[in-house]
Amino acid sequence: MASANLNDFIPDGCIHFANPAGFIEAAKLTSELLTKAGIAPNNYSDEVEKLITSEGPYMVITPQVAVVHGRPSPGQTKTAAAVLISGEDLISGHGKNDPVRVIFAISAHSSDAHINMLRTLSEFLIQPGSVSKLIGCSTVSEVRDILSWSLP
Amino acid sequence: MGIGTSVLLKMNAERVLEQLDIEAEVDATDLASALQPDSSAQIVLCTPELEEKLQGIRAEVISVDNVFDLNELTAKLEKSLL
Repeated sequence: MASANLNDFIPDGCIHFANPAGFIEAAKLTSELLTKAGIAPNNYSDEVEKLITSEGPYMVITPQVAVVHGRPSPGQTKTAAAVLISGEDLISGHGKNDPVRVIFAISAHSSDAHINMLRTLSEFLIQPGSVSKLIGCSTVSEVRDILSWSLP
Repeated sequence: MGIGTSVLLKMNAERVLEQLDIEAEVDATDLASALQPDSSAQIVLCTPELEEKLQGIRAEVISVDNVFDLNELTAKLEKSLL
């Protein structure tokens, strides 16, 4: 299972550096990358915002990292992720894991391919130092290099 | 089948349970399913935001701050199961 790496799930143009004004802006910006890549529907970033404002920052699952998605829609079948690295600390309101610096947006649907992507993301995030390495990147190719880490 | 954070939590709970040599079935669900009165769950793992919404269900509710801190997950599951 360790043969895949996260790059396999992140299309061209879906790695982005920015200094967003706040956590929700950053989450929307990240999900818009999936829309621009033709993966997610046009209103995807609005869906993401709705979930954050209605459910709270539950998606900030580990220090400095949020994994955001919208609600699954019937036409949503493609499996992909986008990543945004923020130059600024973002405050989501999560009591323990703020500030956020890395946001992954994932397409939302239920399938074996989707579970496989989440497993690959999990195998990446579980490695000590993976997040701080990502935050230290300044080019897309550096990010691609770090994302290619997978569990031995 | 869940679609996001619940799946990531499930995967790490399974990692920890395997290390503890505890056999368990772990499902990723949404809040509505966890609140079903006929849910057969013994334990419901959740992120802190959801803990309050899960008050009063039959299962034990364990709130996890850092989904990728296996030490936290191990300590909390050990306390509950061993």
